[in-house]
Amino acid sequence: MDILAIGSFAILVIAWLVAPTASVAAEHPATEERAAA
Amino acid sequence: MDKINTGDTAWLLASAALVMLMTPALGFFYGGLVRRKNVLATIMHSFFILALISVQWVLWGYSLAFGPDHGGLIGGLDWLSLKGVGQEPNADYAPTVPALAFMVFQMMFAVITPALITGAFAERKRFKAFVVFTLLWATLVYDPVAHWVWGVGGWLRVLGTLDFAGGTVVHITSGVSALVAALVLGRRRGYGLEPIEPHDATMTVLGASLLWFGWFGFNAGSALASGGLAANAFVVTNTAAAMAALTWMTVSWLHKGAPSVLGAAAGAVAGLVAITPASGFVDVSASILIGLGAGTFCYVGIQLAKRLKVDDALDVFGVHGVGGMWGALATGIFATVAVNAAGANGAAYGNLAQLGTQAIAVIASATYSAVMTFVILKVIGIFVGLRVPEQEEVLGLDASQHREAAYQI
Repeated sequence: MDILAIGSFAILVIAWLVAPTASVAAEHPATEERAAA
Repeated sequence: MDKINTGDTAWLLASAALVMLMTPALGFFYGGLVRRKNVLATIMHSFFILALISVQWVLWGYSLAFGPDHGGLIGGLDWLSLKGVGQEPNADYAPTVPALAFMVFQMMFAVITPALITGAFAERKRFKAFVVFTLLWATLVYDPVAHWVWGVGGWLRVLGTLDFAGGTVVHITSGVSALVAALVLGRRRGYGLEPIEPHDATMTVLGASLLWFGWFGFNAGSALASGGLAANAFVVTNTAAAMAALTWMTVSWLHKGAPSVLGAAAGAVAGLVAITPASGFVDVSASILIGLGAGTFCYVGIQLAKRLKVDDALDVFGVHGVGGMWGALATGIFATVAVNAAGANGAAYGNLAQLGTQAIAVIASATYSAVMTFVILKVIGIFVGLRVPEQEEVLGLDASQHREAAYQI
């Protein structure tokens, strides 16, 4: 059971590494305003 | 005569106070998830229940749940108005603390359980209908099921059901009842046609954090003594909550492309729900697996409910129903007498029968809760009316039911 517990946590860590990183922040009007300022 | 242990008594009273805080915390958790026009009404559900069930419990609720047994189904009225429940311990339940301390600890469980259901009918239920429903539900559903599982002579207790802190009694009953309530009341106006967004996610995260804090009293307090078992329950509770928060956030990240803050908060609550029945019977490794399952199964359950267009407004069934069932069954898998000699081994330790016992408890409590909730709601629908009229729903319940506004800005 210890192996399963460690393995499941390891899977989460790997998922964070491969999870999408695309952001909509650059397209957000407030971000554009701040960038312009 | 049993001797009172001051350490145990101090811990149980402190735990009762921790569990008390969970109901207003739930009000904030739910309050943030509703629209601005319904936040006061939503918080009021929890706050009002804290007062209502506090009185119901001392008058007859405690006696029905824990009083002398009648046929394994219900306690008697011998302890009406707490007659005979005093400063001396009751050896049947908690031999080292005053019976009053055990009673008030259990009161806080009776308080929060109907409050959990309110998330399902948020933003559309008539206040008067809510009041009557809560009183009837507490008396006809919570008190009997608490007796079945925890009362001396209760049939599920006699059968050998393991429910350390209320997976069956609290979460399955409320979660299943929430689903029935959502179906009977019907969807909110505009559901599926216009966005119905949480008005204050920060309030929800604060509520979830306070729930997490209070849950240490809920689970570790259920040891009814200040010792090793309480410490085990404390540690596995925290671990399962953490693991479920991480899992839910990860699953939603992979599914929807962003790590959701509300998802992490809901995941933590799902983990707390799932570890509740197991917390006095499982070790840390099992709590990680229980948290993993909670984060995954509850997330999937909510997506399924949304696909079926069931307007369980604040996902009570997905979190408490699914999480409660998973926790009850997981207890039958991962329980070990190495943690609690008074418990039993689960399927993972060679005792498959325990999983069967847990399944019986799940089916019995879910079926009874569903049928009784349906009947109660139908009766209230006839005599009081369940929903507010359309114009009042559009206006919002804060103004229409309470003539108050949450914010002046």
